[in-house]
Amino acid sequence: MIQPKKVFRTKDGRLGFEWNDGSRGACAIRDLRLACPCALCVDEHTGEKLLDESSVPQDITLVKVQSIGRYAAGLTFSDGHNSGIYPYEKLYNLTKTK
Amino acid sequence: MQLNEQTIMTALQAVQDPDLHKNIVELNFVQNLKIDGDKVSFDLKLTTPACPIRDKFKDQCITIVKSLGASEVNVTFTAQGRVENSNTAAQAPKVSYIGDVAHVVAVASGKGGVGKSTVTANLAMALSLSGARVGILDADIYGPSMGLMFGIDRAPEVFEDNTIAPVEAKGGISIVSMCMFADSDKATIWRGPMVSQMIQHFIHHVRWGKLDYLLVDFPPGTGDIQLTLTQNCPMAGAVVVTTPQEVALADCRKGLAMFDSVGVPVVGVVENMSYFICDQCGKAHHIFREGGGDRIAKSWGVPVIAKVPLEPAVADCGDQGTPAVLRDPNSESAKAFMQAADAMVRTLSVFKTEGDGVLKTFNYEFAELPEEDV
Repeated sequence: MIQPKKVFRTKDGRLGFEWNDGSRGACAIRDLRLACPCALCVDEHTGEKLLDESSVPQDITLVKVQSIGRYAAGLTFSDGHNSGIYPYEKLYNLTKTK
Repeated sequence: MQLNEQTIMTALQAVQDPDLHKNIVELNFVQNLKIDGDKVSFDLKLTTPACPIRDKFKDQCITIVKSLGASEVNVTFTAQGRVENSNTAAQAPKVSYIGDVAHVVAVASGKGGVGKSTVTANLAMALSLSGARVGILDADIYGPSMGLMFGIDRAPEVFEDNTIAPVEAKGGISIVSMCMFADSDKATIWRGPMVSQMIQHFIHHVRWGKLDYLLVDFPPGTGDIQLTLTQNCPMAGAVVVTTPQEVALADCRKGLAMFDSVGVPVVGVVENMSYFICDQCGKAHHIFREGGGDRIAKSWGVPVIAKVPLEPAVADCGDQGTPAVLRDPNSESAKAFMQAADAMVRTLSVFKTEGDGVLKTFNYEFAELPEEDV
């Protein structure tokens, strides 16, 4: 089970994590917003993406990051969007690739 | 007709939320209303992003505003957190007493009727007898049974700020259960969002005080309530209850898989109704066959922490409002429960050391996070 040991931000404004496997990674905020898995952004049944990427500001920032239970983080973005639940597994992958 | 905010808001009062029995204006769903000539746009702030009737709301709103003369109506969905600027799922309320509890432990099963509440009551009693401060949150909103198990007929004190003082039951155990708030002969017929709200209320607004263990008696299954529970408080571990027959084991696997996917480590499996001790011949009979719990333990890598027999005298204990561990401590069942409590305590401390340095609950402002290189 992947879990965070530390949350930080990078000089270029990305959200960074140190994971309990000892690795570190970071992800750009806009990429996090685009990957939002909530029911407003992704159709619950078909998995089809409902979020119009052009509607997400290029300069979007993060306001808050908080834990949800033991498996996920909730992110509040500067556009007010706050309904996404990002399982640590997903964040782990995002911080490795973006 | 000239479009103005008031006429639009008044007209939108016609849209009712069928579950909350109020109209969407009254519920403050309509926000950010902008009128530009005959173009109207506004947000619908839903209680949950997964609102099943959101498209119906949208269609109704558009029809109504168009009938007022608007040529173009734009409705955007947003989802509300109970507290502004926080995630809808975490919704950490301003006041929460759950932080005073050292270990929150889930007692769950995939299937109903396996004796989960009996196990919860006896585990709590065993822990309490060993000197720990223990509470029980009976989260089975639809079928609460903790009142009966402990013979409680009192209602908990509810303070002016809506917080609740738990009822102190036998063995000094603090208990909050839905049965204290509802007539026992009436059914609680609630939709998911209502139950979720009640559960959140129970988690955050009960004044538990300092507790070593809070056992949460989960309702059976793997659904809405279970998710709300695991999202709202960081569980230190879970005990999964099953009976030995294959049909129960299939559901037990689902319970284990659920805790796996929400990151709650499983302490172990309690095999209830493991065998029957005949009160005539005193022999153990394996009514539901042997080894079910062991099989599941082996394939999932979790231990069986107790095998609790069927004993009529013990079953009576629950009905008479005193858990077997207290009333009949020398029975095989009581011994099994005490063994389970012991295993639970030890495993939880192992989990605690293993999870050293891992962030459990956090709530950071991004701007205040330390700046570091990857």
